[in-house]
Amino acid sequence: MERRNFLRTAVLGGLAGTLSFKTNVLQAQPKPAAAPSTYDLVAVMGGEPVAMYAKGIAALGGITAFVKQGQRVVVKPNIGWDKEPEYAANTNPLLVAAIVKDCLKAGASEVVVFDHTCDDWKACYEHSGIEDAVKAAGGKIAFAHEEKYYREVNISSGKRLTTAKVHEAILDADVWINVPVLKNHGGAKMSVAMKNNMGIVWDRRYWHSTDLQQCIADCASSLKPALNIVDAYRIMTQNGPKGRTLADVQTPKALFMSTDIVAVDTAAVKFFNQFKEMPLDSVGHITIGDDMKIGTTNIDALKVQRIKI
Amino acid sequence: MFRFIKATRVVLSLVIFLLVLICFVDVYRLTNQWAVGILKWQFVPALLGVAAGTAAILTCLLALTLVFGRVYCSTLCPLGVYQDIVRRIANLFRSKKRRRLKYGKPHHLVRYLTLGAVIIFCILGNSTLLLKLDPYSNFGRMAANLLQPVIIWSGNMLSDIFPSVPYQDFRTFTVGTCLFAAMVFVVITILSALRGRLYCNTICPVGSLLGLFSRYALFRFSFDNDACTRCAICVRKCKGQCIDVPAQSVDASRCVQCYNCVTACSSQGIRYRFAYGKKRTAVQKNDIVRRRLFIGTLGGIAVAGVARTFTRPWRSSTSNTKALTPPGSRSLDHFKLHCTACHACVAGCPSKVLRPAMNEYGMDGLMLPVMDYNASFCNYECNVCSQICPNGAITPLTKEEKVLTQIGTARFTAERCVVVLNETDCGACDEHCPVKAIRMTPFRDGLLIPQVDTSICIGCGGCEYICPARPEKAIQVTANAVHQTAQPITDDMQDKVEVDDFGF
Repeated sequence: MERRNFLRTAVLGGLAGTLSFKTNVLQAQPKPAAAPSTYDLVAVMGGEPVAMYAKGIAALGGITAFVKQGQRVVVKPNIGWDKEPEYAANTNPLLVAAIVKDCLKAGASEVVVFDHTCDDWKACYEHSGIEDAVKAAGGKIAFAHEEKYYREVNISSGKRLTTAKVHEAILDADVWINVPVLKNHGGAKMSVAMKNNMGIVWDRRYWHSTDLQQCIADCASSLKPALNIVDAYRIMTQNGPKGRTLADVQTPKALFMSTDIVAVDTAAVKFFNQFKEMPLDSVGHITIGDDMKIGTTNIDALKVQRIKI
Repeated sequence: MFRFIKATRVVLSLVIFLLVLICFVDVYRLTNQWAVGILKWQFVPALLGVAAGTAAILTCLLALTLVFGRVYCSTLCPLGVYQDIVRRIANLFRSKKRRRLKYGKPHHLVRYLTLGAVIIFCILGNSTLLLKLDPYSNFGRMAANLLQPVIIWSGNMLSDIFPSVPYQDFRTFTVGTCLFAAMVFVVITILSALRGRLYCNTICPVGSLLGLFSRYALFRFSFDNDACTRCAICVRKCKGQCIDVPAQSVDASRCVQCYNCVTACSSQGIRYRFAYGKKRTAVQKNDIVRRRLFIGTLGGIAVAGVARTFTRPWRSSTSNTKALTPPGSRSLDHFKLHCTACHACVAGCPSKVLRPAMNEYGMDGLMLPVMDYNASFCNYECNVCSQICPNGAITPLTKEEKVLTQIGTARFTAERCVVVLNETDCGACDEHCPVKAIRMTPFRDGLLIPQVDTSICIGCGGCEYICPARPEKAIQVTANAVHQTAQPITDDMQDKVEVDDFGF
């Protein structure tokens, strides 16, 4: 890059960053960028996490379809539990690191990673391997263990969940990528992309006491990640979402991506069904998501790219 | 020579003071508890922890006292060093004349009655009196309940400017404990500013006990009658207020080995020397009082010992099954006898589930750490408190032992459960259970409600903490008065499935 161009970019970028003001009105958030690719859903199978991510994101037109120069990006994995990566309770750290790197390569001004953990936050960040992986990849780890990191927002489209305290990193970000791990769940039946967003809010007890499935859908109706990347390299098929021993884990080596959160959850549950029976209509929040037109469960009508490595 | 000894004492005492302090105020978990070993060198922890393996340390401390006198009080005791620091600071605001101390009469009655009462309480199976007077525990409580909140508060200010500083809340602090610590803080600070080591030589049970040994120490301070010019500069500097120049005697039981006198004396009138077998100064009236008190106390202790062999531990009856003691503490009885509420575990608990008790354990359990499942829950593989506790009140557990230590069991009340009341999914308790003692079982219309297998439940409180039912939670942990061992968890075997298709 020429020095002049560099300076111009730097000055303009700086100005843009200073002038752009943030708002908590969620509807004003930039709409998920329409992927220039022709695929609505990408499913990858048979590779290592990094390789599967590379193939998958390429099929969606590359990360630059979602992340623009100078944007602030949040990558939100599942780091809920004090468990090592092998237990599939948390998102695979290799995948998280690959996404962080890719976003930075696309010119993101910063990439922030956090989760409102269930177990002791420090232990989760450390033992999940995600803190180290993210830092090594050049990303930032944000705290999410105290209420002060959350700001109240209205969820006007919500039926039961009408307000929520949402993590400031999400509210301040330009782009937000949701990176759940595919798991069985004792309460919500399944934990995939929609369920993973419970980790961006402060008060989860309210959800549990006020129609959990509806609240999960309500949140997804208003707070929309630009892209959902479901880690199914290892999946927890029983005793989820925390899991108990390695016997709860299967290793199908798969990955699902879509901008449609309901579609990606549908695909993931159908995939999960091959390991453990889990009818889609028993997973309340996904069917509600379809009813509320957050996305579609009719993935047969979508353009799906299936990649086997 | 004496200057060197004093300098060593000062440096060593400050190092130990800081190491102890770090154990209580490391709010950001930067040290990973590497300094906690120093806590085992505190006298009361070493005494109470004998069964947990501190006999060697206790022997060392007593031997040290028998050789050099109460060096424990001058160098190892953080409350003692704190008082020296206070005095030093107070002197900055005083004229030279006002800095002088005078000889003080011993308060044998208070000293030995207090010591006797503490010992009798302990023999009867109760540490409640000891924990309120023990210098180490008082220092710990001051650091953990007064200094720590100040540090957290300052850190929170900083965290607004520097996002890399994690914000922390104040949920482990209880008003009652903070007030007690503040009261002790004020009393000790004023006493030491005005009268040096008056607390150590009047109330402190450790000081009184070690004083009984230091009277026979091999090295003692004594006057050289011919060299002494009676200038009394040693008296002015003596923090123990135990030098009587007219009588040419030093009360070895109250001397805290600060070496101020010998460094101040320019004529070598007072010396620190080998005194084994040397005749002590003539028996004084005071000594007779002491002797009588000593015999009386011994009698009291003997009576208590006999009484204890025929009765149950003497303590307030509590039937509060919500008061859970931390894993490793074995039983409520063990805990109440061994814990002196120094709050090292409270300060070190990563999950912040431990907090000082109010009346949960009864009146004799005030300020002892208790598991608070409204604030947090016990992290499954965490054994930090058991590694920290210097008293052996929370005995060390390996991770393998910890995950099987059942401090209580969860009880589910369906009538309060949101699944039953609202007919919507919840499963928050099941989610948090690390051993899957909770299973979600069919209720109706595809809804699932929890069922508890108490044989594998360890009482960590994850379920109770997260349960959204109000006003009363639908799942609550009931304490085991004596901790049990839970059944080990087993694999839920399933076939490894190989798939070649996406399923859609």
